[in-house]
Amino acid sequence: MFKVNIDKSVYEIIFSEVRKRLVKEHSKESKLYQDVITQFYVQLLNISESLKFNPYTFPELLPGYRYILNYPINLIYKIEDDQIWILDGITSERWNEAYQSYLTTHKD
Amino acid sequence: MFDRSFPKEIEVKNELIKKIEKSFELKFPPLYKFLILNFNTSFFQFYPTINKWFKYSGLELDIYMSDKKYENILFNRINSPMRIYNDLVEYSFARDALTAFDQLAIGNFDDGYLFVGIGQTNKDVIYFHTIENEEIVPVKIESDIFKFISKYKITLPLSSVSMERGLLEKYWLNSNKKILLDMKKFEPKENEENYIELDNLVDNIYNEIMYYVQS
Repeated sequence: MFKVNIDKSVYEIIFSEVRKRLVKEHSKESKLYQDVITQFYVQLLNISESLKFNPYTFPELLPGYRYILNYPINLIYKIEDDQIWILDGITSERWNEAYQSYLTTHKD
Repeated sequence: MFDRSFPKEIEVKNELIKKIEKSFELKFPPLYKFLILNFNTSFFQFYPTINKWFKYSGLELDIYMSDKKYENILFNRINSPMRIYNDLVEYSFARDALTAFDQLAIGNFDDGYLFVGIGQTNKDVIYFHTIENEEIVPVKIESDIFKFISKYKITLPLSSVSMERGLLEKYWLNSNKKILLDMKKFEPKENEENYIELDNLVDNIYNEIMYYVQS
């Protein structure tokens, strides 16, 4: 079984997004937290369990780095011995930014 | 391991159980009622790796009840009270089981239904129905739902070739070609070496949700 660690900055991005969405839902009368529960909690629990038992589940897109693409914030991790290090998270904002810059470079 | 129901979920489920008990003149057996009230009953699907990625990736899994191996794993589940109510209204076999055997249809297992005893003599006993000479014959599986759960096990073929590094990646690559190609342009940022366990984040998200649910 692998020990799974997450970079503090990535932790904070995910946690602040959860809090933001909870506050938003709380302000509505219906108070449905379904989105946060399924997208952020259940999926993260699934990811955590998967990584513990089989970190090779997710694809290695760059040598040494594996990408989790079915989470609202795409996570990048590396495997070292029996430890997993989640070292980066790609939010949709960061993704759009990078993609726009890629398109600009591509045009040139 | 189960997902616990949120306090408000318990209230809703309790109301529904009372409604079922009143409409169909039955009483839910205590242990089974305890389980569906307090836990998310889709516990057969707990192992996320199996259900989400492994199951659809075509890898082989072994599902056992005690020592018996079962092949059909796709529909194994314990139904929610809403689904139980729906089955009672919609299907005659569920109502027939109530009158003929004092059994309530509670979920799917293997290629049939799973029942729990609701009479005085068969309270909480778990059954599975088979057909012999065109007659339904209830077969006792376990004396209660918790014993049933404890004997249900899923074994991952950890030592087999199907778990070898790279096989699931092929599945991923096939199903996500476009996004994977784009993502390859994304270099990871390795910041400072400041890490915490992922389980802490999972726990903290759960606590934060609970705070809002209960407020």
